[in-house]
Amino acid sequence: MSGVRVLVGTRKGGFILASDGKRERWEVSGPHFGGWEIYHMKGSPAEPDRLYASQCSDWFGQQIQRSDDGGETWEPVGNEFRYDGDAGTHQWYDGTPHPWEFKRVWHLEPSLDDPDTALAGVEDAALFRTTDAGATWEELPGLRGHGSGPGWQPGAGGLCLHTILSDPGDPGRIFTAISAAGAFRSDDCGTTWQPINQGLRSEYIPDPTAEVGHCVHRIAMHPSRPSVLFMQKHWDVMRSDDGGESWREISGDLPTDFGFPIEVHAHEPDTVYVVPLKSDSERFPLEGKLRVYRSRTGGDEWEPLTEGLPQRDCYVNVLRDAMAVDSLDPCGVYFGTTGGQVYASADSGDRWAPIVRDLPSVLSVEVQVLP
Amino acid sequence: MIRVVLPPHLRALARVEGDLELRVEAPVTLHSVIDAIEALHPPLRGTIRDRVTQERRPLLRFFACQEDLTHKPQGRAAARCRDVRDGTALYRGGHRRRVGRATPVRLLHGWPRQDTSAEEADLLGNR
Repeated sequence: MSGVRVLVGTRKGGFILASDGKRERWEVSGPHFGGWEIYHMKGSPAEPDRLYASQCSDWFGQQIQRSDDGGETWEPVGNEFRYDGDAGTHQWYDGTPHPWEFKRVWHLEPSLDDPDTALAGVEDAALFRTTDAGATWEELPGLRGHGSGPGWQPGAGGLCLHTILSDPGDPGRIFTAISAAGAFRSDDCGTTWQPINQGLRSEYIPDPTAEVGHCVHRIAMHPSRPSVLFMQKHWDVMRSDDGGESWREISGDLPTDFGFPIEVHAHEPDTVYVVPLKSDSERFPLEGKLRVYRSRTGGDEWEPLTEGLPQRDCYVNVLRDAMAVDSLDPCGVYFGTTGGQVYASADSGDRWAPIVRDLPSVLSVEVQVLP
Repeated sequence: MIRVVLPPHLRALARVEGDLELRVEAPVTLHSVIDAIEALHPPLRGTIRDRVTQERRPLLRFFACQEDLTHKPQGRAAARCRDVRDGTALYRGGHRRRVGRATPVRLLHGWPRQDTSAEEADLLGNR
C-alpha cells in the first residue's frame, strides 16, 4: 500500500508526518532543526527520499539542508546566495531605491526529473538554481534583469519569490510569482522572463492595472493542463487559460476573496481549493469559522467545506505555502495553520481531521506519495 | 589556543559538543577567529557573518574579557585581556531587541593556556 509523507515547515522547526494510504493514523517526527524557521521542505519528484529544506533564522541567516533518506538524516549544503553582478536596487516601502539584499529562501522547487537540480525562490526576490544537489547556487538573473526589477516593491512579508511552477509538458517553461511584483513566465528554462499580469486589478497601487506591482499570493496548476493557472491574489481569485497571458476573476460567490493558498485537486483539473480570510487587515477566517472553499467548476461557484474544521472562535491564518494535495484516490488535501494545526482530508475535502494540533506556527506544507 | 563557546544552534549545526579549540595564526582578530571557525566547520559559513558582505549578523554580539567588541572592526586585534587567568577571553553574545531581554549566547575565544606566546598576547593587546 502506498504511503504518504507530509513535510511541515514551522516557525520553530520542521516536522514529518507519515501515514499509510488510508491516511487515518499518523506518525510525527521532529522537530528537525528545532528552534529554526523552516520556510519550506520539499521532496524530489524523481527521487522521493531526496528532500530539501530551507532553514533560516534572524540570528544566523540561511541554511539549506538536504536529506537522502526521506528525512531520517540531514546534511547542511550550500548557503551562498550571491546575486549576479551588480545587484542594483528595488523600491522600498516608501518608494525610494533600496539595495537588493538576500534575506532567506522562501520556496524550494526540485526538478521534475533530476534530484540534483532544484530552484530556490528567495527574498529579496530572485530565482536561484542548483545542479549539484544544493552544494552551490547560481542566480538566474534574467528575472530581476528583464526590466521591471527596479520598480518592484515588497509586500508586508517582504519582497519574496514564493511560487515556482514547472510545466511538466514543456521543460523550458517556468512560472514564478513575487509579492508584490506579480507573476512572471519564462519559456527558455529561466533565461528570459516576461511579466504575465494582464487582467489583474489591484486597487491599492497607483495604477491598478500596471504591468507589475500586484501582490500575488500564490499560483497553482494541474500538471495535466499546465496552461490553466489559478491565482490567489492579495484580493481576488483569478484564472488564466492561456499560460498567464491574460487573467479573469473567478471569485464568484466566495464570502471574501482575500487569502493566501490555492490548490488544485490531483485528479480533477477544475476542482480548486482556497481558504478565504476576512480581510487584509484582519487575517483570520470570517466569523471565526475555519472554512476551506472548493470549486468544482474551475471557479466562480464555490462551496464551503466545514466538516471537522472549527466553526467557532477560530482566528488562525493559513499561509501561502501551507496547503497541498496528494495524488492518491480519493485525493488527499492538507493545510497547516498559524495556530499549529495540520488538517487533512482523505476525501477531497468533504471531511477533515487534525493530524497534529499543537505545532509551532505552520509556514509550509508539502505532501509526497510513496510507493 | 583559542577557545570558542558556540551557542546551541551553531553547535547543533556544526555537530559539535562543548567548546571549540582553535589554533589561530597571529595576528588574532575577530576576522581571523571567524575564518578559523568557518574553515573547521563549513556549515557555519554565513551564520556569524553574511557570506557576501562579511558583515556581522545584526542580532549577534561579540565579547571578550568583559569587553564588548561587537561594533569594533573585525580586523582589529581581538581583545584586551587584563587577566589571562580568568579563562574565557572572548565570547559572542546576542539578544533580540524586540524581546527586550538579554539572552547571552556565549561564543568565542579563550585565553586559558599558560603557553600563550608574548607575540600573541601583544597582538591581542594583552600587554
